Amino acid sequence: MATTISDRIQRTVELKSSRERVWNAITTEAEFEQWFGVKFLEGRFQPGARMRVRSTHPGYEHIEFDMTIEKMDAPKLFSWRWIPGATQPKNEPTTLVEFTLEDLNPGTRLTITESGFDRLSLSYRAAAYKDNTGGWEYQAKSLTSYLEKNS
Amino acid sequence: MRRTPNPAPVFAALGDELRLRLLERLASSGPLSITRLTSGTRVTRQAITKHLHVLASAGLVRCSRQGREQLWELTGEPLREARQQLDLIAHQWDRALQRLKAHLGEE
Repeated sequence: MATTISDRIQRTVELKSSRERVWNAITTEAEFEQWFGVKFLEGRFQPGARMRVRSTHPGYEHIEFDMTIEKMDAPKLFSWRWIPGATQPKNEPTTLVEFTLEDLNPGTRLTITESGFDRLSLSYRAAAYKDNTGGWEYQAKSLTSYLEKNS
Repeated sequence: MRRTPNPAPVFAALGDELRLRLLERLASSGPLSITRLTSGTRVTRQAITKHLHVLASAGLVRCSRQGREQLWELTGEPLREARQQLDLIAHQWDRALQRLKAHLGEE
């Protein structure tokens, strides 16, 4: 059955760029910094590496967090564990982020999955990003009607 | 800022098909007794009771007494909180993907 609220988020996009191009954009530190909106303070992308990261998003430059790289299986799978958040506590469980690349003809299908929210106090990261943005639009994409009926 | 409750128990409570079915049943029918919740399933009354208590400890359902009967009903709020937090994170991923596309020169 379709689980309407689960402990994972998944997003898929179809890109025109080749798989090698997409792989480089997500696994080269300098490129990742640009599009993801971070600056790496410590560490390099390699399996097992722990990286210290600072946000470069305007208004969030005070936010730092750690990423631990899990897998780099070129050009198919790139994954890490993290808890992005302003006040990241030690020993808090992490979520797993996976980038999966598949060939299209032409182009690339990129799937991002973040899982493990059932072990994580989401309030840390929600609080970190919520305050300054004003008017997050909660798009209830995966909401069944029963939630609405009972709210 | 309003304190956000930890939704981890909510996600854990939802990680079971039978519990999700119980929630849907309560949502479509309103408050129900354990007898009603058990009828039409192959699950024992004891198992249903156990799952209702898991849902109750996550704050998703509550039990009220009506005459001699105990009725179970949805509370609603923790589910909405959990969903909003996941939506917030999903929205951040949507924006990250938009930036990746722009970075690749595709938009």
